[in-house]
Amino acid sequence: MSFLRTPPGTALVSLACAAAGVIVVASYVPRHAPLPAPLVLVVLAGLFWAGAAWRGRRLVAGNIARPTLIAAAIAVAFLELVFAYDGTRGAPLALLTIALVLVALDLPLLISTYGATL
Amino acid sequence: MEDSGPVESALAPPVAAPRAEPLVPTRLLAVPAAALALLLAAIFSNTLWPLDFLHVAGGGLWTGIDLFMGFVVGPIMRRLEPPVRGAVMRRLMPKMMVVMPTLALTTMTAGWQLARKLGILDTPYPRHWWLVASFVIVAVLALTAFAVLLPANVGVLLELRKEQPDGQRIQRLMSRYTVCTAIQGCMQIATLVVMTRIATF
Repeated sequence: MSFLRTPPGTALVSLACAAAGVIVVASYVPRHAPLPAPLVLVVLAGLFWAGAAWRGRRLVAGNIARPTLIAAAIAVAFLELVFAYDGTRGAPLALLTIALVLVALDLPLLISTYGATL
Repeated sequence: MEDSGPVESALAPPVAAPRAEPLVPTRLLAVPAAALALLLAAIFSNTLWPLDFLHVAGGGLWTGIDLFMGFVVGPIMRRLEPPVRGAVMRRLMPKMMVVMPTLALTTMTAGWQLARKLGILDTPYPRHWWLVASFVIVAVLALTAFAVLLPANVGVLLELRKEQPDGQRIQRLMSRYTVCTAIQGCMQIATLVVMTRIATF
């Protein structure tokens, strides 16, 4: 439990919330998912990310965060491309985009602050 | 490293600052670049075969490498002498950091497209739960990989680059790594169960 209170631990919780949001929306495709539950998950993911970023701002190792951000952005762009290419539109796509952006922001934060908490 | 005094510093010949090498050699990035180019081609070709190939080949390699690392290489590594283990990890980790995320992304993306094109995503409940289970398993795999395995890899690599690596720190990182590879192994077996069930709907 103590790990979850550290900046990478909080980023991990944010990542889990964002991933859960993506799963809920994806599990309804090709139909439209009811959005309240994924919206709550994405808002939680955003709040946890903000908390992790604030608490870990002095622990971020730039030489790790930058390449990780690029790699995560590429991975997330592929997932976004697939959802958009398959015809997901409107509010579900917007929600997926925000969740995936949070995933892309969580990963560098998590990986670049992990070493400082050991 | 101990600080040398001002006199010794003044007398010492100028030494070039060590070049900060990237954690992953740049030439290794050709592997994900090629894989992602193939993936793009498969998505936009709108044909089943390349998607099926990338999903099956990527998934097979992902599962195989995970199980091999978790249940074969892992136990062997734990019995090696620390310097030998360090030498192996220094060479193995950069490759794993490139190969595993690439395989995961290729498998997931191609699998999603394949399911969409085959109409598997339209499967009604209760069978649809199998699909939801596959999403959850992939999420657990991705979370453990990105949240523990990758940071542990980076941590071990950074520690091994130091002049005097902290053995206890490496040990702590590796113990997390070992637990997570076991979780990954179990999840990969669950993936095999779910995927073979979905393939026989």
